[in-house]
Amino acid sequence: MRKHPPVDTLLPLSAPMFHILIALGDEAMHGYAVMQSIAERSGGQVRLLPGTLYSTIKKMLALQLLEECDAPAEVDSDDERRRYYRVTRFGREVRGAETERLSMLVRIARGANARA
Amino acid sequence: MPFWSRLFRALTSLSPRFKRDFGEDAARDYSTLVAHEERTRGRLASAWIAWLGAVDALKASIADRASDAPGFRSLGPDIRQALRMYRREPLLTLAIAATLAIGIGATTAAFSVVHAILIQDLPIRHEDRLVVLYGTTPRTQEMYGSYADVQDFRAQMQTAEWVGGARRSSATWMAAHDTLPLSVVRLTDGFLTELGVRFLAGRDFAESEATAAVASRRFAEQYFGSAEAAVGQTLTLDDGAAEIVGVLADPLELPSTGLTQLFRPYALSPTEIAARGSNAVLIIVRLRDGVGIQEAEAEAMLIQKRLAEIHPRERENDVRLTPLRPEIVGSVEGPLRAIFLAVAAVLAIALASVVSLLLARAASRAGDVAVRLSLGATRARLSRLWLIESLALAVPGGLAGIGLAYALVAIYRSALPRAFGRLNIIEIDRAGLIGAAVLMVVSAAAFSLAPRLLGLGRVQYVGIKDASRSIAGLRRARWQSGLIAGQIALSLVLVCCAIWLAASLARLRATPLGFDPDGVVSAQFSLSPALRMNAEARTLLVRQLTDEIGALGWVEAVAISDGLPGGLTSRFGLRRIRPGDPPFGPADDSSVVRFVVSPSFFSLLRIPLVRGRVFDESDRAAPLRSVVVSQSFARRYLPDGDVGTGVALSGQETQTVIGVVADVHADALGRSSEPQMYFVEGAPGVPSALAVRAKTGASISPEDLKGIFRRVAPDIIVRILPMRERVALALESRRLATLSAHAFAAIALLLAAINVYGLATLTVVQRRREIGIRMALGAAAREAVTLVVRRGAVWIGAGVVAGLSAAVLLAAPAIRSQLVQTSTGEPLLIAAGTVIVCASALVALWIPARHAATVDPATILRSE
Repeated sequence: MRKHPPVDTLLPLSAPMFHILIALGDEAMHGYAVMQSIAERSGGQVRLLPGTLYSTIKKMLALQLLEECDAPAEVDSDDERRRYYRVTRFGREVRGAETERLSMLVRIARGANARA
Repeated sequence: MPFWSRLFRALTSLSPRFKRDFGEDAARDYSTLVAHEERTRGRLASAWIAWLGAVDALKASIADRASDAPGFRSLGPDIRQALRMYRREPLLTLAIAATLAIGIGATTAAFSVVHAILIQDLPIRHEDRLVVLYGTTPRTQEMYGSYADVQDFRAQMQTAEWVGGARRSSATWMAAHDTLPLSVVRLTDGFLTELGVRFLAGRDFAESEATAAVASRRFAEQYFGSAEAAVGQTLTLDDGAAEIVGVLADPLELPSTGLTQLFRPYALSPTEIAARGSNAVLIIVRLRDGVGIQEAEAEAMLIQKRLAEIHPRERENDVRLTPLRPEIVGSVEGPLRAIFLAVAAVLAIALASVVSLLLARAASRAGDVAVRLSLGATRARLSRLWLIESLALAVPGGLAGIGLAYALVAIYRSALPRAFGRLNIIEIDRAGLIGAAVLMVVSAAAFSLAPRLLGLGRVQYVGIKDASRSIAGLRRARWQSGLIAGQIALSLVLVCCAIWLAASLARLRATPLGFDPDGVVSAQFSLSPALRMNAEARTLLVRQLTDEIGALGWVEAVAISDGLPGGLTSRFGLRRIRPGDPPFGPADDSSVVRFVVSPSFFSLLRIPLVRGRVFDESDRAAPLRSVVVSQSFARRYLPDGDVGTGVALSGQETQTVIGVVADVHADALGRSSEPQMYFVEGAPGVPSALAVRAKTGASISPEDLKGIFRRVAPDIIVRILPMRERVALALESRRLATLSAHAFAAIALLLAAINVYGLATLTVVQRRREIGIRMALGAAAREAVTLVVRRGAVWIGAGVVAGLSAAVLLAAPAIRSQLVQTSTGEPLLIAAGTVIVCASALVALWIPARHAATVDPATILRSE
């Protein structure tokens, strides 16, 4: 297995990448489900369209943030033909680091606002 | 597959690897998304998401592609750089784009015209085997045949596969709220089917279906909304009802029929069918496969001889076969050729302009190139930058050109008279658009070579400051000045042509007509077939009309005739002049214009009497006894004395020339007037026009005339037109030719001016340093201006000399036939053209020259 790049070099993550990492959580999903999940979580505010979705997935596979996996047992036969993705351990690390980075930013911004 | 999905797939395939790995998944998700959106939020929302998805796919594919190919990655900055350059020089950029737009627009429009008329196949089958059968006599060139001829040739001609007849006619449609004149062509059995014309809806008619009609697509769509809706509709026409049974898919034009709205079966009485004297039927023959036209003509001649023996006619005529296509497109070939030449000239000027402007721009960028080279840019990279810059110009310029082409075609379609036939069906077709796209790409590629022509690619870093000086290539670009000279020459030729045509038109307008059209209104009408045959009823009707109109308060006089000067005349060939003279031979041109008029005709139109007298009421008693002739008639045929001479002009009967009147310009204004002869009302001839003179100071009321016609003869269709307008209409096609010539000359002049502007700008850029130093040394601003103007003026002068020679030696002989009372050698006209061209060029030169005067010597010296 290839060595991962240091987590820091990937930060800040692009918005689509971060959304995909959050949408997948610890589950395995196909592309369309990821799209729906993102739209639902953001209350329709964020919408990832197929072009961006798959070009981002392509990059994330190359960076080993995601990996392809088998379809979960309970899915119907139509969904079975789709490709499923899940977050790798490295992906979870990166997601955690990005979440931490953003939280820190938010803390700083809130502090600055409170002083102002 | 729905359109959106196809588009999405096409866009993702811009990056083949992305398509291979994720194309299927992405396309499926896209379709699911769009379908889901339509289900939940409606069609509009789904179209919006489909559009966003397509744009997103395009961005993703390009980004993906860029990540694979490093060259692709720098495309964005290059495009931004190109746009930045153009923002910096908006005027020059606009000039280039506009020039390109004009060039591409004019060419696309002209190509579409030529394609529609000369190249596109006629919408008929076996076009190459279709010929027209004309009768010819030594004196009349070509004439149509009769219905009986169609039958005879159909029965006897072995070399023919099929023989059909078509006759132009007209009808008036009494629509719900209006009466509309329709152009109708009557056809023999199975004509449309035999020609293989496509039907959009419905079917062909059989000859026995007297009330059936086939409509043109335009007619059907115009009045019934669609072809399907038109089928089954019944039209109330002046000669009975007609039911539309079919609608044609393509416009069908036959020789000299123009565009037809309605095709109807031949419906003639048995006597009319048997009549052999008529020559109103266009006979079309489809030859058997492999039969040559000469072979068929020889056979047709034999048949004709045989027929002449069985049915001896007054005149024995020969027959001639001629291919169908030139008969249809031939009438427009002349004007088309002129348009095409003008467009070719405009395009040549446009391209020369663009190259010259780009050279001007490229020259100002020498410093930029030197910087790039010094920073390690490769030549390939520079070439790519130039190509992108050219495309950034060519694409918007080309798109604007396509828009212009649509506008030009629309203008032409609305401006040209119906007589131009096929010109009415022109539209920008796919071939035209492809042509425009090719022009766009080719010009972009050609323009990107401009900097290379200047030698910019060979610039070595010497010192960035010096770069603009170090380009020896600039000096070598002298041929560019030659381009200017060429352009000036071409514009001068076009301007001269426009001036000649304008002068000719103005003089024609001022030509004495031989009659006084002011205060006269004309009413042109066509009698129903029943009235045509019944002389007594006809006379009664005409009498009633003239009496009632004559009783109107504002009317001074009314005259009736079978024609009017200004395009409503009939000609015929004289057989002999004096009784006992030998008949005119084959080579004699004995065509005269013949009018049958009421006695008041001459005084009403104020046609001057030269000698003798004109008709009076007493002549009506014996209408064929006396004749009035025009001056040119008398000069030509009766040189030894006219008034009182007995002549035998038409048949065996002898007439006495009772008077000679001045010539009137019958219809072809400007041609030397043809001999005219007048018979008094009552002589053979169907009245078809009324001329009404208003009392001095009284205003004409066409409504009064219409009212009388409606009351007295409700089924007669009448067209009321002031005589002045009738005369103007006769000038219409000349007016259009002049208008076109002016448009082309204006475009050419504009382009040449843009080019001169480009050259002068280049000069200013090149000599900025020199100008600055001179001014620092005390030269006045005026001298800086002179420096620039002098160089341009030399080339403008050279262009004028070349242009004048070309105009006089090449253009003048070509255009002479179009001119009336105007000589191409008139110094005043040529001088006017020269002044216009020189003035425009000098103004274009002066603007950048003024700019040279604002060069700040301090800035120049500081940069040294």
